[in-house]
Amino acid sequence: MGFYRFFLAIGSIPILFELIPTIFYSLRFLFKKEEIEEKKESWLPHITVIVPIYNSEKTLIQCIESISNSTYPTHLMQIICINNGSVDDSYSTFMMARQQFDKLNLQWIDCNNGKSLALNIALYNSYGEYIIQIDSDGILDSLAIEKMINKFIHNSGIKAMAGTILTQRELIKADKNFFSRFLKKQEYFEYANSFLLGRRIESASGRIFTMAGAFCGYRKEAIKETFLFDTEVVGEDIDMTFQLKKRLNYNVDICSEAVFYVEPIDGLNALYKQRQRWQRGELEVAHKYVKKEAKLRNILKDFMISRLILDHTFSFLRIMWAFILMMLLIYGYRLQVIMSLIGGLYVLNVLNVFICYFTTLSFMRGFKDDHRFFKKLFGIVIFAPVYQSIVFIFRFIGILNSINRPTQWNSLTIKEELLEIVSMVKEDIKRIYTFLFGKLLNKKNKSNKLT
Amino acid sequence: MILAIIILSWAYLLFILKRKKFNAFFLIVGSAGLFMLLGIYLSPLLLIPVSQLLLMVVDRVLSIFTDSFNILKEYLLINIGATSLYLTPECSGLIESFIFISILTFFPLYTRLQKCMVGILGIIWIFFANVIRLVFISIVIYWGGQEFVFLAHSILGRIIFFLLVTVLYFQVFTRRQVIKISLS
Repeated sequence: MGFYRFFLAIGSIPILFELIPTIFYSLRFLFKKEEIEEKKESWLPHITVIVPIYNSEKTLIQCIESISNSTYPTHLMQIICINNGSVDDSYSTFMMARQQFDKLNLQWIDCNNGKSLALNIALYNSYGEYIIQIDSDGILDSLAIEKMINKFIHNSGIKAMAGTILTQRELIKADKNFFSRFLKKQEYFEYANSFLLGRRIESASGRIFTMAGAFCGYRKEAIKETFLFDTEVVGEDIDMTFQLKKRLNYNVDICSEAVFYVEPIDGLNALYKQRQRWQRGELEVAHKYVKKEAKLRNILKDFMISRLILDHTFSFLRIMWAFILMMLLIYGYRLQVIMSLIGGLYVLNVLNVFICYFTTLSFMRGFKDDHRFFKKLFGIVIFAPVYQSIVFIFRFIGILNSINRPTQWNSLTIKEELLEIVSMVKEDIKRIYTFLFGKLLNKKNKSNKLT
Repeated sequence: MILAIIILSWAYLLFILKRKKFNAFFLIVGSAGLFMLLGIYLSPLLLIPVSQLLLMVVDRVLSIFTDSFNILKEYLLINIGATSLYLTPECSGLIESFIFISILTFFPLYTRLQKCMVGILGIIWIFFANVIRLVFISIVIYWGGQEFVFLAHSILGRIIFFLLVTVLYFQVFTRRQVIKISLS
């Protein structure tokens, strides 16, 4: 019996670290209604929308169209499409968009030296009082810019804001492949949870970790005081959040009502690359900003320490849990026993997921279509721990791969990595074969020549 | 014979992963294999001596507070009044020590000498974390009686031990990586 408790205790403690804050904040949010500023301003400022482009010929038109459909006056918008080394026909698509949306102030700039530098060049060329940054593969909700700028105007202390990012429902529904659709639904649930609940928790405790670069906004005056986007890190958005929060001590908040819809993930290989990149981004920023203060005694002073414990230290402890599972097998425990233990932990995870689901659902009331779609996800939420486990493994691989592998190495997919291993085994077999039989063959060849 | 083939295949796989610089798979495959080997071969040899050493230290610490504890090292028992605590393999801290050593062996940010030093300190840390846990459990049961066994042993004791192991893992793995990671 001791092992049962031991195993459950070791496995459940990291889950409790997620479950307890989720319950606490869910109850707090449900009982405390948010005050949303609905007052419309008669005077509106000029804004600049920056759209970094990389091989976006397929998505750029719909992205620009969504900006054009925005409720924010288009004559007050400067839209900079900053090309970051596209090799497809993004430029022609841009020219088509210019013709189609001739009332928009659309500009194209080429910069082939990485996303961060491209963003910096766009910032130099911007004249808006506020900067909105969006990815070129997404669709902006028509109210998104108006909501974000409105919040900026009414909250002078907020210097930057993260919007809500969800994946495009229609693309999920249109996917015919069952597994791929399942993955995309889980991803939608994850995004909804993370942006509508997770970011709220971070905001309520002053611990916003990143304004996702896919959709965020800044005051130009604030961004001018930063060192702009760092070209040395993968997570330039996390770095910018830390520059504003940690270096300049500015208030970074969320604007949950402003929504941007990105394309859903294109399979496990893409997820593998994406999550490794995100993990690397987090660790690089930790290195840059808390290298000296990365001590446990600073846990209450610096939220990055608790974040590192949750994302890094607990990852190793979860691996420890998996090893204990192996130990059970060595000790000759029956499969039934092992499955019941895993089941116990799964139930605990499902409980956490359901609390998140219902809280997030209550936050979705403002977005009718998404609310309807999210409601239908109820059935698949039970499998969310499976998806979370896959994501955890990918992130753990990201932690380890970021140690001393150059960034471009992280861009390999699982399939490519396996193929590299197979090709190396083949090479070794070939080498061993030549070593063992090469001399023999040479001798044979020589004797054949002599005869 | 089969075991020898498995070990050789494991070593060869590690060799490939090392050459390819696939850090993640190198650590996962390497530490899982080493842990299995330690679990199968070293665990039976070390279990009793480590448990007895643990009880000896626990005995010394508990004797500072009171003489009401009766520790029978030969039977791996702690008698607290009418309650007896039996030191099972999972209470010895041996599994956690093996896991720590296995991960550390394949963690790339230390030199061999550093790994030896950190490994020894880590094992000592886990040992004393276990001592603290057992002392805590014994004292709670001593003051609260038999009804506190579950709370002290399965909940509070585990949380204390888990937190102490978290401190170790943070210092050894997280802090090291945050300091040593190279920017892109």
